[in-house]
Amino acid sequence: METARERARLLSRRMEKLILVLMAILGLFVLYGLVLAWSDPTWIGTFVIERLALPKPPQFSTSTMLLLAAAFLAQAGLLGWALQTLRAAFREIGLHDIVGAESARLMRLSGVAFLTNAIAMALAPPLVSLIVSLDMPAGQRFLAISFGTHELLALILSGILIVFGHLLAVAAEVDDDNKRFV
Amino acid sequence: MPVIVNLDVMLARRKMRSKELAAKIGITEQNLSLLKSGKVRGVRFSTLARICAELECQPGDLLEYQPGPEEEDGT
Repeated sequence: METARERARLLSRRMEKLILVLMAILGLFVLYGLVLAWSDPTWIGTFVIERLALPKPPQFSTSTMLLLAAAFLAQAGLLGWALQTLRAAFREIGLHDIVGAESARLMRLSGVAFLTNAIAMALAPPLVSLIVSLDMPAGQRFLAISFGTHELLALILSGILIVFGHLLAVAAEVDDDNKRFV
Repeated sequence: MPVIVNLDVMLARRKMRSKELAAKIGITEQNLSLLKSGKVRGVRFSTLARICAELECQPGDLLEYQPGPEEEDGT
């Protein structure tokens, strides 16, 4: 039993390192985007238009570019927060016990963080289209709404994480109860 | 707690220390101390059997029932 627990802890430590790598990749993407924005401020507008198949405005204003950059940074920040809480949950499992109150709390928190990120992903197209349409002439402004399998999958997975965290919390209570038997 | 644990009495009779008994039956000294003070949720039959084997006694020598209110958390 002790060997199985040790293997589980080792797996958790590896998961923690994997998530750290994912966070580093995310950070690199954000940095790359910032460097590109520095050299070509309109790239983000062009990227969004091509991605969402939106009409191109005559010219991108500075405020539109800044708003788009803020929206992307916010999305990246939410994803970073979600990954950080998940990493903290695995770290807690790796350092202490597989079933513990703290790891359960962190797992539930990561579920909430991923759920927030999933909701932000669903809200991103209408928000971004609104921002882009600010530079469109009056009468040609638009609002795009989309909800695809990516968003649905993100919502489902985050919901599963929240439920899993709750199950871990219950398991921690049972484990604590069992420890009081000698 | 209605069930009283008289382990310390048996240990004194057999002139055995808690540390020695804990090592012989394979539980930690802390758990044995909790058992002596009655602050455990329950005792496994296997643990009870090992204690009885080491102290050469019966479970009734270790456990005593006195009617009284049970605490909410079951201890």
